[in-house]
Amino acid sequence: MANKTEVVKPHLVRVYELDAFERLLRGIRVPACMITESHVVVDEQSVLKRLNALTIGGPSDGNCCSCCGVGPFTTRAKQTAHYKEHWHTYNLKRKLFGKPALTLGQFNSRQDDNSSVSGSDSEGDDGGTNPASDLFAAATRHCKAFFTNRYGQVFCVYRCILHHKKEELSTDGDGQHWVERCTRLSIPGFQRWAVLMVSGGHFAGAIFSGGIVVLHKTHHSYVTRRGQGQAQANRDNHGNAPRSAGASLRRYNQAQFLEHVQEIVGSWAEDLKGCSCILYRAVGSMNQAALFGKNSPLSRDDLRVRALPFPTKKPSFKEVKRVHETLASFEVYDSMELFQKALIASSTKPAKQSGSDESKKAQKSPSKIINRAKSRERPARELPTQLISSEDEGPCFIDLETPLDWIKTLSQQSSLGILTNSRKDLINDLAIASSRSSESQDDNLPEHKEQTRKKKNKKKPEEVRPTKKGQPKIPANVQKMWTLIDDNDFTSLETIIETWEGDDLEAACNTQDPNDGNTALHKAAIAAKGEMVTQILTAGGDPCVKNHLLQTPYAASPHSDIRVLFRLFQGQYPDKYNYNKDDFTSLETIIETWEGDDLEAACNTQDPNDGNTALHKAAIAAKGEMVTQILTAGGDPCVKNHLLQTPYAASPHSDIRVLFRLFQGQYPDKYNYNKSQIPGPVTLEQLEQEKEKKAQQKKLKRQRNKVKQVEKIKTNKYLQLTDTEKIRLDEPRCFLCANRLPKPPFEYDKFKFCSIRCLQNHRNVRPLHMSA
Amino acid sequence: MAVRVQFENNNEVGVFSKLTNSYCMVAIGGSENFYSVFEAELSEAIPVVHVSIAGCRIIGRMTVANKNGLLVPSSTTDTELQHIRNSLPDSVKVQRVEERLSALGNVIACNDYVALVHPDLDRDTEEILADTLDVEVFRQTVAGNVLVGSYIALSNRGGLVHPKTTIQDQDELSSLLQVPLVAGTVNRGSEVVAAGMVVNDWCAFCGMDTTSTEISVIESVFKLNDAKPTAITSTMRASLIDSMS
Repeated sequence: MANKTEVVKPHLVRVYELDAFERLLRGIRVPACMITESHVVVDEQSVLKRLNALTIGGPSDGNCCSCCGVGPFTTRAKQTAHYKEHWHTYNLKRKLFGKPALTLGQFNSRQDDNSSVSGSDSEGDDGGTNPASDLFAAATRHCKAFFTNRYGQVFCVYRCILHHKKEELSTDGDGQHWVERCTRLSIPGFQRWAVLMVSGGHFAGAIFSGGIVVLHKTHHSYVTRRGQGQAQANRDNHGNAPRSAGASLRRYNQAQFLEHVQEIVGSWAEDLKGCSCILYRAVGSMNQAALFGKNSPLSRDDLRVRALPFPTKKPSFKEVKRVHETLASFEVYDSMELFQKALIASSTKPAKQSGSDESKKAQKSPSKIINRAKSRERPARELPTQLISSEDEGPCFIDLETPLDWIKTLSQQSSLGILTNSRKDLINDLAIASSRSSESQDDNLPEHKEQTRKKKNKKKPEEVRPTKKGQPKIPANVQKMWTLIDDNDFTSLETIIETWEGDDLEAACNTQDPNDGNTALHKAAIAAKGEMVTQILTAGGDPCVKNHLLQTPYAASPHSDIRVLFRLFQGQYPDKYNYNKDDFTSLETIIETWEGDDLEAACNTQDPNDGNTALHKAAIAAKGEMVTQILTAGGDPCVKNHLLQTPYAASPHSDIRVLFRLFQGQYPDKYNYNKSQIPGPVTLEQLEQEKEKKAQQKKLKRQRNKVKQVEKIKTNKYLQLTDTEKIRLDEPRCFLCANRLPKPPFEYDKFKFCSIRCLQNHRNVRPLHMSA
Repeated sequence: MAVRVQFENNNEVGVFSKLTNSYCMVAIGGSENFYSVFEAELSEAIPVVHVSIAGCRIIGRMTVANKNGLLVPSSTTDTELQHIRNSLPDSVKVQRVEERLSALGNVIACNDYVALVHPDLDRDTEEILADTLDVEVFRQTVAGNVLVGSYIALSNRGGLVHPKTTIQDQDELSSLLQVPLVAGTVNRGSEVVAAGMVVNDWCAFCGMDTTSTEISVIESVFKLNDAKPTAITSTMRASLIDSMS
């Protein structure tokens, strides 16, 4: 905001205000930002000289990399190796953006913040931007040309006034061409311009001489389908042309319009000849045809005929005058500094502006266009589910590639008052916003509450079904035992075990929670209840049972004290269980007995050959248990190997991938999963649902195939019948190809066919005496 | 020698054709004029074939090729690929690549030994390129321009680069590519040199607008004047034998 007030608005000088314009032109020059270095003039002699001077492979000074500032290289191998380094590629890109190259040291320290090299992202870099090259880039791409005069003023004008797009004025040397074109404008003969605009059944044209309108004409016709918002011709070209009275009226109008505009332009032929520049706006082939069609005095090859460089409103005389005035005015800045500030501000502004424009549009559009022909859309009511679904997809983050429409929906939401944050805040902490939105939506929009509640009610049966169907029912006493573990009520657990009725105590101990696959032993181990662990182990809780993360109770326990208990128990009762199945050994022991604090660092150490961490290796080898162990031990799932794969991406099996997602669901805050390419957390319920859905789809497909098969057999049978039998059957099928008959069918004699082609073929095959 | 030719009144011959030491591809055009110029010049040594890529005629900009192989973009249809495979010599490996920068000819410049590529080119594509065309790949820009394929015309004997390339850059590139390079233009000052001409080790084709100075620069840098029978038997023997075998 503060920036905006600083930018001084330029004052305007019109071309036809002769005195002011003359004053402006005094000492006119082309500023440095418009000029490029003059390029080498190629002539044969110099080339031959150069070729002779070149000694390739010899000790030439080309044996280095000026981009990175290294060399000369001692061997060819070193040279080629350098050009293949990430460092070189990175510097190349920096150079393209006008930034200074990094030294190898700087580059390596940069690399730590995980920025990818091969992508084309240009992150906003604080280090040393070059204002001169920025200015050059902005100025050469700008739709206006810039000049300075002897008073140090900087002024600019649309390029289309000076030259046609196709005639490139050279920016070499002192820009003499530009100056010449600009001063020429002060001659009255060069101030005779024509502005022609055609769009959607509106034509407006005028010829100006200086500031005076010499000739003008507008013409309007009813050619657009208001409801659809497009011209009749567009609709007609799409095949199914509407046949209503209104449509034919419009079609007629379209033709009339074309003719009229061509007539008007044709009658101006003499006047147009005298114009020094003819500016037009005609988007689409129809509108172009109106201006450049047959017998038109205008031709696209004419260098005076130029397209307008900015968007315009509906063609009308007022608009034409506005366009002319805009084109004719020179923006004048009093000093180079002011101008630079304005130019760079304007070249960085558009992105932000467009965003706010969109939100404005989103606000306006519902009130502006009311289409009574269509059923009304209710975007606001669908938002909550949209948000929830985006939450399901996992942690959201915005990068450069985030599709624009998504941002649009965001701004829509904010404009509807669902989200109180401004859009910028939204982007910053989106994760919070998405969760908050569902709450605030409940608060702000009470009338939606009912709707969502209804939806919930509808959904409920679906959610409940899988648990009933797919998973075993949990006995009440087992449930009780679990709650006791959570409550840390040691004595009562003991009494439960002691007073257990029936012989299913062991089974009860090993019952798995359907949500996470944890047994009582898991729960006790995770909650670090040492006494309970021993209790349950003695009561028959098997330490080999794995939960859904493929962890045994031992692996699941976070505390070393608890782990020791397991091992003590093994020592005491070496024969009670088959301990081999659990992972007391190898990797687990390594992690367990790790000395020092660098376990996490060790997990994330990359293999120099392929950049794989321990997690990558475990994932690639499809060792599910190890993956979970390493994740728990601190193996970051965001580290990429040399193939730029995260462990998730590297894992070849879907089972392993599911483990990553389960882990994310269980420990959503342990890592920053944004860069891990994990598509989002998942719970077992969701997995179950997905599976069921797939099974259903498969079933449907099988049914469909069956139906098709039956149909095919029927068709084959039908085709084998003789014609007389077919007549007797009188099925609504083609006699030749057995397709369904249209209504009415194509027939001759008593034979019926689906198409003329079938009929002809049938007739041709029949013996002559019968078809006669 | 360098021949002037035009594709349906268009001077950008590098857009509509691709020339290598073992084959030549030309776009399917309305008239056979363009094709017959190539045919007359080359048919004794190498096959000249009609090709389209994804139904388009801009084959020169869409493909990258040398005597060892040919890369086509993912938009190439199966029939087109089959046709290409059928008509090119058996030793030429043809490969379709999934690359975001699909105008491969614009982003890759290569001869039979080295290739310069756009800095953003996919790593996978780079690997395929190295395997299929049997070249060493370097990421580099030409005169501050990433479209290296458009701004370098390269053969095994020399190269023509964008007219605004500095002497320092020319030296570096020459040293990297191991061929002499000069800055120059084609088609009466056009700076997109690769679009304005195609070249192999003994022959070049450039647009009808090319001036005689430009032609003589091209002939001297690509050493087309040496490509006389004696030179063919001595210095160019390797590439010719490769193409004939």
